[in-house]
Amino acid sequence: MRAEIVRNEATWAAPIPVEGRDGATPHPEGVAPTVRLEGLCKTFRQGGREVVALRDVSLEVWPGESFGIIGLSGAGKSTLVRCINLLERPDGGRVWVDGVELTALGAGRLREARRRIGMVFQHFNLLHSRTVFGNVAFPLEIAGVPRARIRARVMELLDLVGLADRAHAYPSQLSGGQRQRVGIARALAPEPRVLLCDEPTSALDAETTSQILALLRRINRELGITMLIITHELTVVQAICDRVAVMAEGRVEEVGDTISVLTRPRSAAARRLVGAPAARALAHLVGGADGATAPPGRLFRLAFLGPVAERPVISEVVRAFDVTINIVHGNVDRIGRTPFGTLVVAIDGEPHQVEAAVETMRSWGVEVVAWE
Amino acid sequence: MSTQLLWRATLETLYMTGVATLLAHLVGIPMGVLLVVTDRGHVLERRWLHEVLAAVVNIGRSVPFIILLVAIIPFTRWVVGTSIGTSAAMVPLTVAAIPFVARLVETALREVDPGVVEAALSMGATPWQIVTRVLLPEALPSLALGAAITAVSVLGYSAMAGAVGGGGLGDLAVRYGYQRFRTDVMIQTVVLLVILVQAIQAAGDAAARRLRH
Repeated sequence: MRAEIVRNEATWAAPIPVEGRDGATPHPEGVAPTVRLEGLCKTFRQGGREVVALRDVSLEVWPGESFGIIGLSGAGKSTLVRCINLLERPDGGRVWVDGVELTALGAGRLREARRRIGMVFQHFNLLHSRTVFGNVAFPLEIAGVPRARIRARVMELLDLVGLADRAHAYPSQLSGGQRQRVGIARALAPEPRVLLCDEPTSALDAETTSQILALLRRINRELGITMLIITHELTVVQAICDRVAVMAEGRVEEVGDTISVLTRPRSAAARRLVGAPAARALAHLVGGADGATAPPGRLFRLAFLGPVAERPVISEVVRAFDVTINIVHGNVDRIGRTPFGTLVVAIDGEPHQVEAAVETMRSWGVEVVAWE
Repeated sequence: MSTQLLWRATLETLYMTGVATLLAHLVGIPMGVLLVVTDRGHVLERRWLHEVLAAVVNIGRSVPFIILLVAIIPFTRWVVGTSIGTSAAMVPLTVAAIPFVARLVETALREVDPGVVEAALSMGATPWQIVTRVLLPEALPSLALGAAITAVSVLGYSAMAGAVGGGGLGDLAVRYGYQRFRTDVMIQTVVLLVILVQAIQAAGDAAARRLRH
């Protein structure tokens, strides 16, 4: 444990973040949300069966923030993002983007409003009949932008995403990561206020994923474009989201700072998501062919943020109390720029000793949650 | 004599097939597009229009060509002023090919990735822009192959054009090769037809290859 942390010490300089701001906390006076969703409902009917995709979803995304929506597949997150630019019409509820109520617009005005909302897709959705240049130029062409300005803007964007030398290639000649770069450049072309990203890295390998995430982060930071990212991967949220909403069964179960949600998940859905890697490790350990069984004692999930991670917490606790601690799963990670570590441990001993050990660790600033 | 006959018949066949295929596309492409975009969940959903079009296309495709040829004689006379000859044969050929083209166009457009259409919608594209800048360009390779299939079918139908004095290779094969026992003419016309079909298909394949990126 300690060795793991020390290796990352250089990156652990960031201060512990303050208490997580709740999703419902109003923003400073006078600032209007870039995206506001109010009571969205959507039910799909498939062959007589009703599938409820959204149940009364309300959210606010503030200017310039990078907002994640995470959930397992079928949680309704894709429907939610498609309801924002009304590719899907919600059955009920209202949608505002940049102060305009989209749900109140006619077809023509809605088309104009959509030009201010960029969208990035999991499977890129590029036109195969057009070159890289033609794809990025597409949204500008349909908006009637003059040719000369299209040319300048497209080249500027291809520079931004690092594909200026592939302007005349066709999508079929590009790698997945390059295709997504084209998709991102295309979404940025009409200078949108907000970028909707629907599983932007789910079709990409790990290394390409981190490159695309870095690009999205840079766009968010440098161009100040508000970003809404749908994902089922915790790593995506960790890497680029300031705030996150956890969805399950069509509901938003929890909204908050990424750091608070990941280290102190309050809802069952969030706890399941955050605990998934450790749960897999545990299942693997117990269900292994070598006849291994779960370690003795009660299971806890420990989360370390900032300086506390530099303390040899486990050895100190073992020395101070009559308990044994078995490490089941460990992970050192970052949330944005803030590093954090998690451990899943089995603590064995007299119940009051275990309680005392847990309380002591809490007093040192370790988040300790009993593992279900 | 025989060479002259063959040459003339080949030109007639090419003329009938080419013009009928072209005209059939002028009507068939819009019909195919309408079949797609008026369907459920598409950019111009109009269920009733879709159903009516689909029924018209099916009826058109189920009438045997030789019956159509005779049945629309008044229409043919109204269009080209006569019901006999190569030009007169082109009218029923075109009419027969229209529903065929419409279905082929429909199939080609349905192969276009719905995600691409969705992307265009998310950028604020109008239905017209979806059709002209997404569906048709993306389906172009399939459309080229479809056009080759249509041309070959029209070529086949044109053999029956002899029934209205339309001429062409098929007519020649029947009148000389079959009815007058001229086996040499029969073989020559069949060889020419094979070459024509091969050429049309090769042109379609080459076009599709060039268009597919």
